Amino acid sequence: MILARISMRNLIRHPWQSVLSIVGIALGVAVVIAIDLTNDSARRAFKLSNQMVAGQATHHIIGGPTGLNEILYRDLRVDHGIRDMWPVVEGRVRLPDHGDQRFSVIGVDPFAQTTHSAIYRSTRDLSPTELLSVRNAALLAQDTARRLGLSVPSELRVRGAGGRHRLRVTATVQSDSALEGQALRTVVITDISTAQVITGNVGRLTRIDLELTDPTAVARVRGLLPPDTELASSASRGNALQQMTRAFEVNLTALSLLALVVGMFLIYNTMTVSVLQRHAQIATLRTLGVGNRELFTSVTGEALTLGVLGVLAGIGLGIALSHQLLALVAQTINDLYFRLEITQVSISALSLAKGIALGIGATVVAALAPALEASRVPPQITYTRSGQETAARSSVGRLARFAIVPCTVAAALLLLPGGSLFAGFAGLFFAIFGFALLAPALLLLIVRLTHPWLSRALGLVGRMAGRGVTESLSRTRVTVAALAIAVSATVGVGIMITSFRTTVEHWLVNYLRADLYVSAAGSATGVDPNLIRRVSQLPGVKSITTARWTKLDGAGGRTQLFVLDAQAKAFENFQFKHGNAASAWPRFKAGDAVIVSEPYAYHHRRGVRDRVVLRTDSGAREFEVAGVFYDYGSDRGVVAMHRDTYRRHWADPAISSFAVYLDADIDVDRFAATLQDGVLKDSELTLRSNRQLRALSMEIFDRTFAVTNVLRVLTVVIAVIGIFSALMSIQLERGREFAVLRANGFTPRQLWALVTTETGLLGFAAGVLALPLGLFLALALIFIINRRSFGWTMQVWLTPEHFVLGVTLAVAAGLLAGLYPALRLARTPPSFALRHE
Amino acid sequence: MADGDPVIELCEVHKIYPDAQRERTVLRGINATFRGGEFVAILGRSGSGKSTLLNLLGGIDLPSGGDIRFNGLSISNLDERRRTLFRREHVGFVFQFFNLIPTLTVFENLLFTLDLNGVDRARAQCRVEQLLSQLGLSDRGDSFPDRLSGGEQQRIAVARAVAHRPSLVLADEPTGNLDRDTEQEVLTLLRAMPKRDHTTVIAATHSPEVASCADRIVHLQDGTLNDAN
Ligand SMILES: Nc1ncnc2c1ncn2[C@@H]1O[C@H](COP(=O)(O)OP(=O)(O)OP(=O)(O)O)[C@@H](O)[C@H]1O
Ligand SMILES: [Mg+2]
Repeated sequence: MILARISMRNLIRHPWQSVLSIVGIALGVAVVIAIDLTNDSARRAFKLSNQMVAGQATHHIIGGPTGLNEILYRDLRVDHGIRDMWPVVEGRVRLPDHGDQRFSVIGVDPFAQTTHSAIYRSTRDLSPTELLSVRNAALLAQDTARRLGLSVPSELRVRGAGGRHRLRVTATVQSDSALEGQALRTVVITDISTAQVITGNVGRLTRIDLELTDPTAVARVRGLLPPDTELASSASRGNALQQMTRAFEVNLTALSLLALVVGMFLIYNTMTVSVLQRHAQIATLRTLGVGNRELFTSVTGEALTLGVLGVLAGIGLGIALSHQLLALVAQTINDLYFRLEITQVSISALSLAKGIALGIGATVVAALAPALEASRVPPQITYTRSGQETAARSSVGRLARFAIVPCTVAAALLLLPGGSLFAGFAGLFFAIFGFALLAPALLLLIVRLTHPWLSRALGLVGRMAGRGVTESLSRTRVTVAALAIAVSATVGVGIMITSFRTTVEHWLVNYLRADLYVSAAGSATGVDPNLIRRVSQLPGVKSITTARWTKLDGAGGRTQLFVLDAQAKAFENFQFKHGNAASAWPRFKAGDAVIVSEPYAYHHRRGVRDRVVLRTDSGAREFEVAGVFYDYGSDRGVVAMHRDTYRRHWADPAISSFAVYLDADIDVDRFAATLQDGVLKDSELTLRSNRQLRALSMEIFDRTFAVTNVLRVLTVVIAVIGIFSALMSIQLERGREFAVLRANGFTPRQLWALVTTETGLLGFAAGVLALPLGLFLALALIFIINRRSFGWTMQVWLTPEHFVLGVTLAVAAGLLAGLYPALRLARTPPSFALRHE
Repeated sequence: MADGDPVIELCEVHKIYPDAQRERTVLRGINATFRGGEFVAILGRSGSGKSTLLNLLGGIDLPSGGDIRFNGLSISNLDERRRTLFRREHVGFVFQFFNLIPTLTVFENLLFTLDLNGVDRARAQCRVEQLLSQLGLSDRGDSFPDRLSGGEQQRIAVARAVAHRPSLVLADEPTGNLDRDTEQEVLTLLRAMPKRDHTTVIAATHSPEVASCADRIVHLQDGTLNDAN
C-alpha cells in the first residue's frame, strides 16, 4: 500500500533522526538484555555448581559451624541402612604454583556409587580404587588440567585451611556439557579424608546429600538426627541461598529498565516531532479520504520499524555487553555473597524474548500519543503552525493539573508502609511520568525567569532565543522533559552512591578502631591461639579482640554469625540504631543475648527484646536481641554474639581474625613490620593496618557499584543521543523562518548565535529541571528502594558535583545539538531555503 | 449520472465557529443546488466563508445547522468514518498549497487515490499513465513534487483530483499563486478533465479568469449565497 511507502520514505528522508532513534532504542534494549543475561547466567551458574555435587539430592543434612561428625554418615548407612545418600566435604584452597588461583576442593566417597550428581557421575568411568589406591590422589576436569599444564600423573600443590599439601593428579574427568564444565573449572576432586585434611576439618563432613522420595523416609531420617543437625529440603535451601542475591539483581534490573525508559522517550520524541512537522501532509491525506485509523496504524508502523531495527541491533549489542558486565557482576557476587565460578554467559531464549518484548512494547507505548495525534489531525488544509503552538500552550496547564494523578499513585506506592520493592520501583516510574507532565509548565517558568538576563547579555538574539523556545513549545516541551529525566537519573543515582559511600566511610572510621588486623584466609582452624598469646605479650600492645566469622545454614536460610571476644571498650565501636552499648553490654557478655545488624533486623523483622532462633549443638535455641547496630558489611545482615556465649553453645574454638590495639606512643607501621617479620613469619595469616583494611573495604564498595556506573553512563549516552537528534530536528525544521531572517539582514554569525543560544537554553532548562527530580530520585532510592532492598539507613550527602555535572551535561548536549543545524543554516543561501519549503 | 441532475443540495446550511469569547456565524442559511457536470465559481471577499463552505461540501467539516444532501444522501449525518469514505470515493480536492504528498513521486501521488479506492494495480497504472500524457508530463512521473514548478504541481493536483472519477471536485483558490499563463493552463485542465465524467466542479476564487470560464457564478456575501444577476 502506498501509505506504507510514505511512512518508509519519511524515515529515509530524515536518516540521522531515524538512525539516532534506532541507536537509542538499541542501547536501551541492549542494557536490559545484558543485565537479564548476566543475572540469568549467575543464577544458572549457581544452580549448576549446586547441582554439581548435590545433583538430584532432595534433602541435605546440615550441621553447625564446623559441619557434621562423619560418624553420622556411617551410622545412617550401616546401622540404619539408608542408601541413597552421599557425603560431601567442600572447602577452598589456593594453588601456589599457579598464580595462587582460588579453587574449591570437593571430597567424594568413591564407594557411594551414586550417579545422581555430576561430580560423582564424572568419576563413573574410574574404579573406586583410582582415588584410594594412591595417597592424596586428586582429579581435575580435563580442561582444567590442560589449562594448568598438568599431565597425568603429576603433582599439584595446594594450600588450604589445613595447611600446605601435595596432591597427585591421577586422572582427569570429563563433564557432560559446557555449563557443567564451567562449574568444574576451578574444582579439585579428592576422596573424603584427603579433603578433610586439606580443609582442616578432620572427621567432619560439610553435609550429607540424600535422595528421599517418600515422606515416611523423610520423617524417619529426621527422627535419627542428633540435635545439632537439621534436615533441609534442597528446594528451600537453594531458594534461601538465591534470595541472598535477589535484591542486588532487582536493583540492576530496575536500572536497566530506566535506560529503556529513556530510550522510549527517544522514540516518543522522534515520532511526536515528526508528526507535528507533517501536519500539513497528514491533513492532505485526510482530505483524500485516508481514515484516522489508517493514519494511526501508519505512524505506529513507522515507530515499529524503528523499534524492530533497534531491537535487532540491541540483541547483538546486549549479548556483547553481557560479556563485559558478567565479570563485574561475578566479582560482586564473590565479594558480597558466596564463591561462585561464573565465566560463561548462557544465552537464554527467555532473556532475549524478554528484551525483545520490552523493546517492542516500549516502542508501541511511546508511539501511542503521536499516533493518536496524527489520527486526530483534521482534514483541513487551513493548517497553521501557530495553531499547534496555541494548542500546546493551552494544554500546559491541563497537563500540569493532570500530573496530580501519577504523582498521587507514586506517593501511594512509595509512602504506604509495608510496600514491596517492586511497588517502590513502580512508584519511581510513576513519579517520573508525573514530572514529564509538569515539565512544560516549568519550562515556561524557566524561560520567563532567564529572559531578562538573556536579553541583557545577548540583546536581540537573546530575546529571540527565549521566544523561540516558547514558540515551538509543541516540540521543545517533549525534548526538555526527556533530557531532564535522563539527566535526573544520573544525578539521582550519583547522589545515592555518594551518600552511600560517605555513610560507609564514616561508619568504617567508627567501626574499625583497632590499629592492626590479622586474619586467616581459610576458615576451619583459623588463627592459632598461642600465636595470639604471643602477640598480646609484645611490648606496646594494649589489648586484643578476636573474632570468628561463621555461617549457620538451616532450612530457613543462612545466618552470618560474628563471634567476638571483646572488652566493654571495644564493644563501644558498635553504633546502635536501637538500644545502646551500656545497656546491651551486660546481657551480651553474660546473658546469652545477641545484637543484630540493621539489615538482619529488617529482613527478619526483629527488634530489641525480640528473639532469634539459632541451631546450637544442643538443638534450636532462642537468643534475646539486646540491640540493633549499623553495619554495611553484609546486605543480608549478621548476628553478633560474645565468644563466651558462642562457646557455651557450640564446640568450635576456632578464631578467624584478631584486632590489635596499640599504646598511643607506638609507631604503627614499625610495629607492623616487626610483627610481620617476627611472630607472623611463616604463618598463612594476613596483616592489614587500619588504613589498608578501610581502603580494601572501600575498594569492594566501589566494585559493587561498577555495574551501576556502567548503566548510568549508558543511560546518559542514550539521553544525549536523543536530545541531540530532537533539538537538531527542531532547528532544521525552521529553515524557512531563518531564511526570512537572513533575507532581512541577519548575519550568519547572528543566526549561529541564535540557534546555539536556543538549544543551549533548552539544555540549561532541562538541566535545571533535572535537579529537583534528581534529588527526589536520590531520596527515593536512599529512603525507599534501598530500605526495601537491604534495610540500610543512609545519611544523605549532597555534594555540589552531581548538580554541577547534571547541568553541565545538559547544556553541553544542547550546545552540541545546535552546532550542526547552525552551521548548516548559516551556510545555506536564504533563497534556497525560501524556495524549498 | 446525466448532466443537469442535481448532485448536491444545500438546505438552510449554517456554520458557526466558536471563537475565544463570542461565537462567529460565518454561514447563515445557505440554500443552493449544484448539478452534474456544471462548473460553478464561488466569489466572495476574503473571510466571507468560501473555504468554510467547500469544507462542508466535501464532508471535511460539519454544518452547525441545516442539511447537505449528496445524491439524496444526507452527508451532514454521517459519522467521521463514513465521511472519510465518502470523500475517498466521491470527492476530489485541489487546494492552493499542500496538494501533493512530498514523499511520493508524481506517479505515486496520482496512484494514491486509486489505490485508496481499491482499483487494481494494472488498471490504476494505466489510468495514471493516461493522465500524465494528457498533462504532457509523462516524463516527470518519477520526480518528487519539490522538483516541479508551481504550475506543474497544480496540474498534477488537478489530475489527482479527477483520477478516481469522483462526482465532485472542490477547488479552493486553485490558481491562487500562479501567473496568468500558467493559470490559464491549469484552468483549461480543470474545465476539461472533469467534463468527460460529468463531474461537478465547485471552485472558490478571487480570480476573474476562473470566474470567466465558469458555467455559473455565485456570490457569498454576509453568510448567504446569491446567484450573480
Ligand atoms: N476553525 C475556525 N475557527 C474559528 N473561525 C474560523 C475557523 N475557520 C475559519 N474561521 C473564520 O471564518 C471566516 C471564514 O473563513 P474562510 O476561511 O471560510 O474564508 P474565505 O472566504 O475562504 O477567505 P479567503 O478568501 O481569505 O480564503 C473567517 O472570518 C475565519 O476567521
Ligand atoms: Mg479560503
